[in-house]
Amino acid sequence: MSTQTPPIVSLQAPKDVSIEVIESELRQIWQNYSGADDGVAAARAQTFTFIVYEPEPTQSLLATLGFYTGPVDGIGGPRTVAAIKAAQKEYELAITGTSDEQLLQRLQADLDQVQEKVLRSYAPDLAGSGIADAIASSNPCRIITLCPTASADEGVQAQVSAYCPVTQRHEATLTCCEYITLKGTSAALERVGGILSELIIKDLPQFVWWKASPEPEYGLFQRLVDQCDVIIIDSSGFQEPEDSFQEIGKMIELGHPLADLNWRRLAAWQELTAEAFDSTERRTDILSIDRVTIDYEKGNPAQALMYLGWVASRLQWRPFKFIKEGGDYNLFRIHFTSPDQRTIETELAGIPTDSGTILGDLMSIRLAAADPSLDCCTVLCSETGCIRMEAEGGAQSCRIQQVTHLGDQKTETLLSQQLLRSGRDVLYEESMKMSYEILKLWA
Amino acid sequence: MPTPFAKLGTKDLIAITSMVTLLENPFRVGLRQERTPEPSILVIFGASGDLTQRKLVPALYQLKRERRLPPEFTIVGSARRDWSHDFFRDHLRQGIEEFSDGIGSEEFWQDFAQGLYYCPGDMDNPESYQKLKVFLEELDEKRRTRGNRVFYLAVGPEFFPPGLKQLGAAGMLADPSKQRLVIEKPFGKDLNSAQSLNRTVQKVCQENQVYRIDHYLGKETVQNLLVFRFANAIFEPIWNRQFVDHVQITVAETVGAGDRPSYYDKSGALRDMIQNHLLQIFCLTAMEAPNKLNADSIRNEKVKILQATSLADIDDLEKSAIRGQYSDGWMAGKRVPGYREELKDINPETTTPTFVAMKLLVDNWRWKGVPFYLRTGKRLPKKVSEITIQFKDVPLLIFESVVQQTKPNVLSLRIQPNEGMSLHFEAKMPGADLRTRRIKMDFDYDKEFGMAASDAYKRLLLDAMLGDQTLFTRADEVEEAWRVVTPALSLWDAHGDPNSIPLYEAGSWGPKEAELLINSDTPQSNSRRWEKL
Repeated sequence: MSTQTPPIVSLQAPKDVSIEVIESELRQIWQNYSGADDGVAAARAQTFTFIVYEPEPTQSLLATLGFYTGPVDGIGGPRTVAAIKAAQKEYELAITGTSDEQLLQRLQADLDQVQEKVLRSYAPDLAGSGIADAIASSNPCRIITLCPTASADEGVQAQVSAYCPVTQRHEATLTCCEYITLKGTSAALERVGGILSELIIKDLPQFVWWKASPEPEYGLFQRLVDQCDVIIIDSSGFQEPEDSFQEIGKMIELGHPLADLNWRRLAAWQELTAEAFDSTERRTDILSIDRVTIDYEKGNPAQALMYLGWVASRLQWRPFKFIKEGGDYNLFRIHFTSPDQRTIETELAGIPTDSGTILGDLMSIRLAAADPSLDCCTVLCSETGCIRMEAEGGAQSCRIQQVTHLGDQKTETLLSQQLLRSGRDVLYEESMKMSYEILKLWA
Repeated sequence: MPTPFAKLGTKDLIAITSMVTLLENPFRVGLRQERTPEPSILVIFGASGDLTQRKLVPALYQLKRERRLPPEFTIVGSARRDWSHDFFRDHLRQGIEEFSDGIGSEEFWQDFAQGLYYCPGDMDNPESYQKLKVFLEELDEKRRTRGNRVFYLAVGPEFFPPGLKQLGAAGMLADPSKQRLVIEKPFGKDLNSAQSLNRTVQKVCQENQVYRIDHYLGKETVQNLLVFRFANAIFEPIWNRQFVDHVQITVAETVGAGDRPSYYDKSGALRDMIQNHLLQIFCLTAMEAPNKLNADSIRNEKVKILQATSLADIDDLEKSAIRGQYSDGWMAGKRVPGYREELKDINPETTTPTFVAMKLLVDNWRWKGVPFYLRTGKRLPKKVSEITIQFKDVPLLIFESVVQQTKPNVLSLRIQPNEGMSLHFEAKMPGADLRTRRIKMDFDYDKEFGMAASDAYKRLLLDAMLGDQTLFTRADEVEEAWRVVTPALSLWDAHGDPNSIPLYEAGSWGPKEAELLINSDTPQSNSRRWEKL
């Protein structure tokens, strides 16, 4: 996959339109372009419709204030980063390129002030021209972004634009993507749900990226779940992962197709766990595992719960006890029974640490047996996690393997990988069902 | 804490241990969720044949069981026989039960069988294609396959040209993004026919729609050659004329000409094995590092190495290409007939080779002067495929060897059986004297990964559906491979004298000419021998 931002051709900069005429406006764009005589044909991609639900207001605010001139699509790309930097510079804040509470407050205040004034125009595109590269490389044909706002209910505002990422040189035809942004209060967005169904291109797959905790009570969420092919979430951003996981468990049992980007962050851990038991000599040791310890960055136990759900579902354990010990490490102890009636004790510990932008990354994992004479002890750890595991005498008897530091695995990168997959991830579903079983004991 | 096995008897324990070893690593299951192909219809021409029943559909069924195929995936078989959908389904079920590991659950089979259809037709009748086209469009609606098609030509080579022309005429290959074409071997019978077939293909579709199957490329160990060479830093520096003395590539079979000797008689070892399988292995062994791991980068390198390759001595072919035919002999304690005896009713004086050995030279900076010896044959003592890299001798031997003479280092890459590799080198014998002995450092796939190598067709079918051409041969590659073997081919095709072909006893390692080929051409090659496998 390309890590560079593909250059883009802009067919239509964001333009405010009324929601009744979205389709005709888009048609107009294509007609105008085919009139242009530069020898390059532009065509809409025939891939999939991508719906983004973006409750986080940064991008939308940046656009309203003129820092950001691209489509409000909820996808963090180089242009969004450039716009954030421009705003931070303007407000004399630390220039980090990532949004925070401080910036949001300033943007909101500024918005209230300038409501009536003429909006200024910056040119952040010079610093980063291109739509989010991760998404551009998978070439969606229409991106519909839903931006719920907190202000008074004034109906739904719509904006359309069209861009063509140039992914291959020598191509005579540009393959382009239409952007539709719908802005309004939650209630207003729910009201126009019917229009949303009409905007979805028939016969093409649809992916929904729900950038929030699942809200089964919210009509818009229900509607999207019922009609889309896959609903993509990222549990690293959940406020209450324990509650949300139960909702997800219910949805999976009902057969709704879900994909969690945070699940992908476990890939290296799963791979190394499997590798530890690949060789024929160690294969039987799997059956003697009865102690599992998982340390994660305190703040979000989603990854830890998914990993435990995965191990337990692979080894067909049944949970029977959930002890919420709490404390500095927010300890959870979960007990299982194995198919051969052994008791398995597991422990999840949230380690307070400086955790980067992704909350709750795994730090270390130990799979072991209570009987020290059995040789199944396996430790996987990230750079910081290893120190803790080795301190407990683990260094002497365990097979220790360091998980290469992956840094924070960026949501956009994971998303682009996710968009290449179609079909259900059965492993994820089975693991989530197990996590659901575990959390039922917690409730 | 009792061990999990405490309550079980020894017998159970053995059962469990062996079961667990055979079973997949539970943590491995489903871990690598790779891309699943888009919903599509696979149309198999020649669907009543053995390949479909024994290889293709069992491989597809396994893919389905591994959840590598989308639920919409549909197979349409086409052949001359007037079968019903249900007859076709039963026929394939038999194949899966007989040639694969069974259907598993009935429910699963039913789900798979729902996507199986049969559409009778004639390869050279335009009406059949119109009928098929309409049928496929109906299936698009019913199975939601969005017009994606893979056409698989599992028919005799005589049907390739009419099939291609008809598919083209019916407009069934018109959309390069949705329609693909898989062609089985043989791709031509010499350079001329391959070029002409390529022209026919290029008239009806683009090169990026074409998937020419060479099932050797689907083999795990063949693919591992790339990883072995280009993911490790220690081998590449010695992978050249300064360190390598010569390379041997052997693909030996124990079987004879088979149930249909008349069919084999039309091709022979050179066309059947060397031009495709052995030259593909050769390419991967000898080529330069590709820029990227994508189809065209790798195939560019393969073409480049083939372009630099030729038979060692074009003027005196005896020194660079020899052939042989097996006479009667003993295989596994049983008397087996000679090749001509098997063909006595059809072509008693046949000169089709059942054994071929060749010496190739590569004119580039890396390999100038390093011979590559290729050999393949039927009715050889063992079924074995192996690449042997023999390194140069040490300049001066200062140690005394147990067996008088130190042998040079050898790196063997085993393609089958016992997939893996081993490195032979000298080590000191324990004891007061400084004496050396050759030892073997071994890597065994099964032991290390504890799982069976995946079936070649499974991999290739999936790649074709995913649109990945890396493991398929490109038009220019096929033509270059034919060019390399053409001098031998034209000489042998012209030589009608039945006495001109050397014979070897079934169950031996080929005619004595093969020995001469490897050790009598140059002074320094006196010590060269075929590696004992």
